[in-house]
Amino acid sequence: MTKTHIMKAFDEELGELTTMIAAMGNLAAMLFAESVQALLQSNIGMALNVIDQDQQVDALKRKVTDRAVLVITRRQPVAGDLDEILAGFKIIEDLERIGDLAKNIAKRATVLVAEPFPQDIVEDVERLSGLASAQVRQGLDAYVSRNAEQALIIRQQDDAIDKLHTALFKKILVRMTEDHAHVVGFVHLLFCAKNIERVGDHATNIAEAAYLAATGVLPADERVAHDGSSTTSTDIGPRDHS
Amino acid sequence: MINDPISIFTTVAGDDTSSEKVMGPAKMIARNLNFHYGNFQALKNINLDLPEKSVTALIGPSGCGKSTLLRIFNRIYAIYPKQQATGEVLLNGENVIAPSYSINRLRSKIGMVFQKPVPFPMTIYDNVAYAIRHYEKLSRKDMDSRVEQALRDAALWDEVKDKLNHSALNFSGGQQQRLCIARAIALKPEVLLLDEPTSALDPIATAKIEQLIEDLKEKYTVLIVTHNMQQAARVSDYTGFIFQGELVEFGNTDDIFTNPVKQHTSDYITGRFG
Amino acid sequence: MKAMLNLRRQITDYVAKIMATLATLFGLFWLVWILWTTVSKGLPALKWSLFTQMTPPPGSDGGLLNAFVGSFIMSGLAVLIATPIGIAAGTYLAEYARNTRLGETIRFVNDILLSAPSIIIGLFVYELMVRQMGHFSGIAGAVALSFIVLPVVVRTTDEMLQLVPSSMRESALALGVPQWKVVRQVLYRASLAGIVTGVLLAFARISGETAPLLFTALNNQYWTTSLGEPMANVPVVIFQYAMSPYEFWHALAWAGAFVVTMLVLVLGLVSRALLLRKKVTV
Repeated sequence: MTKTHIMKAFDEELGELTTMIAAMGNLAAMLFAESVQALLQSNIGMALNVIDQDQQVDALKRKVTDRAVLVITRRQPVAGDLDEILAGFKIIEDLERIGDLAKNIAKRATVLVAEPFPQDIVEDVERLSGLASAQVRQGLDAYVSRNAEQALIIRQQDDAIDKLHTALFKKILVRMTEDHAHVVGFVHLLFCAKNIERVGDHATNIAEAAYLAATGVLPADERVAHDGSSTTSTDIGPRDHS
Repeated sequence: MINDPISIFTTVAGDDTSSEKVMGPAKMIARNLNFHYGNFQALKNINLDLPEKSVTALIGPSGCGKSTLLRIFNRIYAIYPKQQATGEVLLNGENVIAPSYSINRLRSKIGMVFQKPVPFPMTIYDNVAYAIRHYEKLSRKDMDSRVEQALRDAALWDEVKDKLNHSALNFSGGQQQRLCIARAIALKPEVLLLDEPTSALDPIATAKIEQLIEDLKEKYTVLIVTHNMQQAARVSDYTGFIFQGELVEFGNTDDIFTNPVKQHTSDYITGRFG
Repeated sequence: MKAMLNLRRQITDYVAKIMATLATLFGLFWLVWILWTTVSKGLPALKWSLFTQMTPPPGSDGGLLNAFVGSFIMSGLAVLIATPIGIAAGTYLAEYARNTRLGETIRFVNDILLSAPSIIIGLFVYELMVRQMGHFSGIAGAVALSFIVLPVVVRTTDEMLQLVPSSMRESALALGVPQWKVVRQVLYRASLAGIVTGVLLAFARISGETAPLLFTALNNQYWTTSLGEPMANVPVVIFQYAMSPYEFWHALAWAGAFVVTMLVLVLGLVSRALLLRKKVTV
């Protein structure tokens, strides 16, 4: 918003909302990164910390909601101002979910402390979570700076996460069929990978909300999903039903 | 981005939600206030504290008595026969509706702005200087700076500084209303009463007045009557809902408009009656 | 059915429109006739000596200088007497006695005075002053005229002050300024144009009054500015000269009538302009 409101307090309040949402996003993104780190490095202390901190994300969401409700009550926002606040509501939903997913990963990390993962899978998970983290942070940046172009780019980048996730999913399935001793660990790992992929999806939602905040409309074209994990088998020829 | 994500919340939102903020000390206090127009009782046992240096709004349906209440505070009702207020209205501890309290003194402490902007048929300068001349003998230079200060405080100076000798009647409604505010604050009052100050103005002029009200509470205790609930939500710190001559609910504006205690208040602000 | 009703309404409307227009034209017809007669007979009789020579003795020519001056003195004095009293009374009615029984009564009595036949006023002042003094005088003429001006000024002041929005009154009082100051410094200013208009119209009205002067100032064939003596004035001169058998006296009467009519016209235009300007600014 280049032009300011005649009522200066309105601008201040909108600015505060953005700052609060950015702070909440920072916390959610940090917990997510730590949860993956705890998982891969078998760091149980870090995992417990993430589980504990998730409450903070929820508390922040409530505060942002209260604040936004007050702004709506006091200022009766319309048009672009209303879009900005609605986008904020959408973003905090996604951030809360990211917090939940991080907590879920952290919980699994506490179970998987003794599980040794093959190095190539560890690297894939790291790469996947790195991409998802970057998406979340960029999405938040796009929202804070009201950058519609950046928001659209982020949205397109989700394909890479989906493709990587599908490949990883397949890789883990193959390992499971080979290594029956560690099936439990691999199942948890599958869920973790899925969680990371879903963080990416939430990042996409955030980017779309950022676009809404910047332009007043949602991005027009439907995105084509590239996550093929739901139709993936181990792909070693037709299944032997005998 | 922010390194310590939690700290931002304590700085921008405070530790607790705003609805729990405490009321400041009361500047004016109404105690057991009743008002009669002839045989009709317009206000019934009003008890109200106006917190100092804040904006208090009175809302309620037409004829509920909100303007009547406002008009008691500077005894402007006294210019009409058959109107009578009983009870107490305390300003700095003194009962201002007692006959012994000089009207002249009262009105220099409590300024009032009306629904329609009514500049006097004189120049901008004289409009502002008019009442000052009645109370004080100032040198030309002192008067100039007093007028300038009042116009600055009313956010009008930049628009009229080259037209101080023009007739006030040639300005827009919004400018005229800010002139009326300047005229009232030129006397350096302690309390400012605003009786539906924007009901005759367009939305932009209204927004300017609302911003001005926000600025005015730095120096003055403001009481505003408005039939526009959204305006009350926008400009006020505290809100009182008046219905059929009674103060139904009074509290933080944020609470009144998000979680009113009384069903009546809720029905009124949500547009379910009246 | 509906069409029938519609047609009837249209016809009624049409007939009413024609009747109203005819009535207007009927009234205008006489006014134009009067004006036309005044202009066509008065304009040719207009000459410079009208304003430089005195009224002539019977059978000779002259001007109307003493009558113009007399009229001006008496009308001016009447306005000077009646305006302050009228404004004060009007202020009382509008500001201090509004909505009171006494105020309503005074307003009613003033309205009766406003429409009192001027000859009655003449007779009244004759009894009051001429009989006491033992002779006709300019001052008696001025007093008689002031009785005509007074109710007009009271009425206009009252009405103009009532037109000032009560919020202006309240705004000024809310500043703690006492009422008498508010009236003097704010309300008079706001209603000034209207009050001046009232005074101008009253002046226009008395400049043509004959009856009250017949019984008070009478006439004077010679130059005088002394208020203690009978005083020449245009309406009475017109009356006398129009009744005379002399052709050039008739001409003088027409010229006088023309000048007075033009004066009234100009005053009317000026007051209209004043009122229009007021409407734009307030």
